[in-house]
Amino acid sequence: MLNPAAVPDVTNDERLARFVMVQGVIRADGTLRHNEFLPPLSGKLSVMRHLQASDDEIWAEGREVARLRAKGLFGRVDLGTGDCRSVGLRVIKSPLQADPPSNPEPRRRLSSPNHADLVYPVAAVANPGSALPKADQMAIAKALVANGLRVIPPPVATAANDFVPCGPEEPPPIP
Amino acid sequence: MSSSLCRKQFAEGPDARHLEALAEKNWNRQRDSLTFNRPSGPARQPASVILFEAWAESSEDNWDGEGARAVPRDRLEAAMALVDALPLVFPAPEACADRDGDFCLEWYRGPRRTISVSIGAAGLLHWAALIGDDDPRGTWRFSPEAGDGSPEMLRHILTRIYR
Repeated sequence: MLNPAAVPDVTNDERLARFVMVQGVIRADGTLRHNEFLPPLSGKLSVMRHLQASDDEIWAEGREVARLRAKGLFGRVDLGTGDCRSVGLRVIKSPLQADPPSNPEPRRRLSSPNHADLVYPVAAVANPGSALPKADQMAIAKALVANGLRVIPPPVATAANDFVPCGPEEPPPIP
Repeated sequence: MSSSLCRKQFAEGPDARHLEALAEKNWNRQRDSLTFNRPSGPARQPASVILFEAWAESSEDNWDGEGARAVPRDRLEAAMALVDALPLVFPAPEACADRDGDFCLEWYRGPRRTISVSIGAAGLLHWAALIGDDDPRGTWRFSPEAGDGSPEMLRHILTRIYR
């Protein structure tokens, strides 16, 4: 993981991970729908930089995010910073420091020097500075996933990694 | 759509009966159609079931753990009306919620043969397509109460995708 005291800017050749916690955005063929990359209400979409992180550390962070959000972890998608920037998104470093437990916002309780934000462009013509029209946001997100982004499922548990994958609750057995 | 799905969500109230009526209309229309009854995915389910199940997963605030807005029931109704207004030659869409509370329909034949239509407030349909290198997008207004049929541009793009 990155040194929290010296987090570098995000370069074009860096890989990023987005953790997927909503099953509905995954198609039956394992590809990702554009909806996962539509901007949340904050306007900033969280991703994790691969830089100096092992695969185990990336999955550990995914599990931690899922735990804090009380959601299942269905997998992650890996994508390039250059791909994000080529469709008009800004990719900016946004290291997180753990907040005191009194802070109710789950996102900020995660401690992650590798955290970064995808930021959508703002409108330039109508209502300059406001959010892009929804259809333009959709077009950007669709362009981003058009290269066939696939969801990588969480690793299965082994004695070595003791990994317990998160997922939806199993339905009760049919009597 | 099964009655149990509606009643699990709304108990026995008027909301359940209203949705059941919509679903029954949708189901009756699809019953004899081989093409309409084919979603983008492998499962062969009626469109009303696909839409309702997707909506039910996002009908409460913060369904994504990131502060997403709940999808209001009227977006589900508009989605059913839009699908119902389409010619039967097109496959049924898949459905998924957006974090802003819109309800999104997706017709997907491949990464560059797809259109998504997000059903927003006040009958606005925000859409974006990818067909080869073309990426048309825009916004329509759709008011089934006023007798609107499916937007002509949607039929045109679906024809390009599925021809």
